[in-house]
Amino acid sequence: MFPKKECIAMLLAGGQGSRLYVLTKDVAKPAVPFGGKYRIIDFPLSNCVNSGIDTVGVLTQYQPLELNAYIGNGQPWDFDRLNGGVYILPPYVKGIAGEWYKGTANAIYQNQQFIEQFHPEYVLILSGDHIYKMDYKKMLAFHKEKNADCTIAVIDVPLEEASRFGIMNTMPDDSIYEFEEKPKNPKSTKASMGIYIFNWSKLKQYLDMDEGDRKSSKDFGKDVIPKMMADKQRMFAYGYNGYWKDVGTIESLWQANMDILDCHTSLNLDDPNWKIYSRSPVEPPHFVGKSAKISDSIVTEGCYINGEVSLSIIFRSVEIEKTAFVKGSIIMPGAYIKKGAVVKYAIVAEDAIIEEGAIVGGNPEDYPSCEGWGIAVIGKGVTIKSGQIVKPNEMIEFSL
Amino acid sequence: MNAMGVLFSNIHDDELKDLTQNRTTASVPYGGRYRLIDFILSNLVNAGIFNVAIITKTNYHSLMDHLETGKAWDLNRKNGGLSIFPPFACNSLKSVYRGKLEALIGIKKFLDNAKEEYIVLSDCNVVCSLDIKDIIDKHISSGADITVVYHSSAQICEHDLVLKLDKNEWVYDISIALKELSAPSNIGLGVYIIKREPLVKIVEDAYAHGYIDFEREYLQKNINSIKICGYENKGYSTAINSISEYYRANMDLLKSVVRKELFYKNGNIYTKVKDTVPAKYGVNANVKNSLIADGTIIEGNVENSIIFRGVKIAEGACVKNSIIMQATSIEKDAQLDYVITDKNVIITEGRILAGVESYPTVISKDSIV
Repeated sequence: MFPKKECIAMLLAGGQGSRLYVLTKDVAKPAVPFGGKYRIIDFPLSNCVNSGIDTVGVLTQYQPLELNAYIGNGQPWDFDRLNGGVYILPPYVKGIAGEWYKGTANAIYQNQQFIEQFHPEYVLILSGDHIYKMDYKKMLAFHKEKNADCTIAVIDVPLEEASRFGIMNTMPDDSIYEFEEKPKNPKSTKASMGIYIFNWSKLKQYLDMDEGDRKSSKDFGKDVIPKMMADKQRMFAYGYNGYWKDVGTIESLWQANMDILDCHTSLNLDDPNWKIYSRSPVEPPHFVGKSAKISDSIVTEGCYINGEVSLSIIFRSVEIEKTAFVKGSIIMPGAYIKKGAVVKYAIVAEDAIIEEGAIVGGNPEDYPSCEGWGIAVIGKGVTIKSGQIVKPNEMIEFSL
Repeated sequence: MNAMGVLFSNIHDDELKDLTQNRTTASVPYGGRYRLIDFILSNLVNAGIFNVAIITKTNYHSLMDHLETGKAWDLNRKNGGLSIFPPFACNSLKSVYRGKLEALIGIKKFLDNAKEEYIVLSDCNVVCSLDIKDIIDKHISSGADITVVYHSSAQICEHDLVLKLDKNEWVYDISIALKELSAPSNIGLGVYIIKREPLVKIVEDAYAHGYIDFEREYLQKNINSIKICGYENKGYSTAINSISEYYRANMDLLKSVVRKELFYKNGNIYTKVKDTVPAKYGVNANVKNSLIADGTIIEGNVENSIIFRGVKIAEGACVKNSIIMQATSIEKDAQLDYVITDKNVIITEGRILAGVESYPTVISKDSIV
């Protein structure tokens, strides 16, 4: 009934993204808005379709409703196909028992039946945590060429940062001889990107073994891959060269958004050969009023801008009134910045209202030792009252 | 809804000839990201009408490219959906149709096979937010043979359909304006409601007698024998049948009351999704009172203008009172005032172009100035 596929993708989108705090209170991390008109999950989804991978299972768990509705039948990413498509895979009851996903490997283990339907030779494991563009078919070609059992995509990180990552130590032929998780004295700068290609038959074996191992935390990076390495399976590192950013913290999410405004970064969203697709309602072009002053920013459809906006990312349907001031900030869909309000270096989540004269955040220059400065965050639907002051680094979850 | 739509994509091609050299009136770009047909299509879909036929005549490639399967308007359906009818010579019609009555005989079989009781006949140049469900309800309750949608206007333009109505909103006189006149009048919007089966008989009869023009040879000829009900569209509406009207209709979008009415009142206006990136503003961008589409790169000055998708406005360039269509590039220090540029135009460095409000300069598609 299901067509045979050479390679299918399994996208782990079940995480909470707890370090995004109020931004992931009601929504899974992959559904968090990014870049003016996207959501984080648009990147792995668009990478799949652009790489010619037309069958993707999206594993959801934490707060999936918005994510599920967003993905729908996959049409915006060209996934509404006769053969293939995007499939939402929440945990489900099998027979008399069912359980939540206990870890990244367990999530795949529980969905073996789904994968089996397509009789794939290869399975691509992705996460919905990063902003990047990658041709997975090239990684697959590398995997086949090396006759690998498992290929792990790696990116070079600065040596001083290497101890934050899972580091792969490789031979000249790219085979991995050692894997060190957050090493104090890193032997290489090749960090695992959390993107894996496995031979499905081999992965099945190891998932079965891992499931039976009581001591295992059911995680690819901590359990399955080290076990495969210990058993001397053919493990290879595929070098990736390009923009790749984890957006799991407020700071990194903010910085990745700001990277779009920086013409020196290599994150080019406007590449006609590698479109990033998204689902958004059709709205008229944004309107810029007579008192508006917009510079060094990106603005998308449905907005009404009549205030001053600089170095900012403005999502759809945002209204910024006359005399309002927005700098260095990310204003998510439907937010409303009223007269005289000042928003500096902040993230204002969907439908939040910053009332007249309220002040949110502050310039980093005004905090010389950087102490006390950070990105202010206003949660979804929150109203900041007229004249209220939200300090830099403060996070507001509820209206006063 | 027990109704279907039949649209004519090429009516008014002649009047808009600067913009319809390579396209139908229906596919004339409007409002920074739309095409004229988006309004009537969205109005139909918002009223629950999902069986829509479009009769085309010439230059319909860009229209077909824009519409595709109709998915963007929710018209990609098993039951009904979008049907595009390229012209074909049928029976003894040896050439492409010359008027709406002839156009309709070409789709007679399609009309016979349809199941809907009512037809919404419309041109594609009407920009407004119509509550078509309400119009059909009124048509049914009035017992009219045909309902004509109109709006009141302070002046008459050439080619306008001028209606005279009695106090019960029955139309007793229809005339076609010869020239402009400043007089408050009721102007037909080219949108009609009529029962399907009687329409088919009218079309057959027209074919048998060689009648071509719907307004002249059906409505006017039968003004005393049929019940014509008028439905006034009180909200913002404009029928675009001249370049100056096209210009004015675009500029009207700079008023927030017009935008609210058109795009938010009776449901969404749908259009093809192009997956473009957001608009990007440079460090010296200076934009005031303008509508800016996605995919644009604004580094210069823009005032009172409509900027379409993918347009680049270089630093030092100055665009005022203009309509700049898709992918046009305005280079450094170029100055435009009251200009309409079609798609893919390049205005090279330092060029100065100016029209006037009543007669904007139109630069045709793919030109390099």
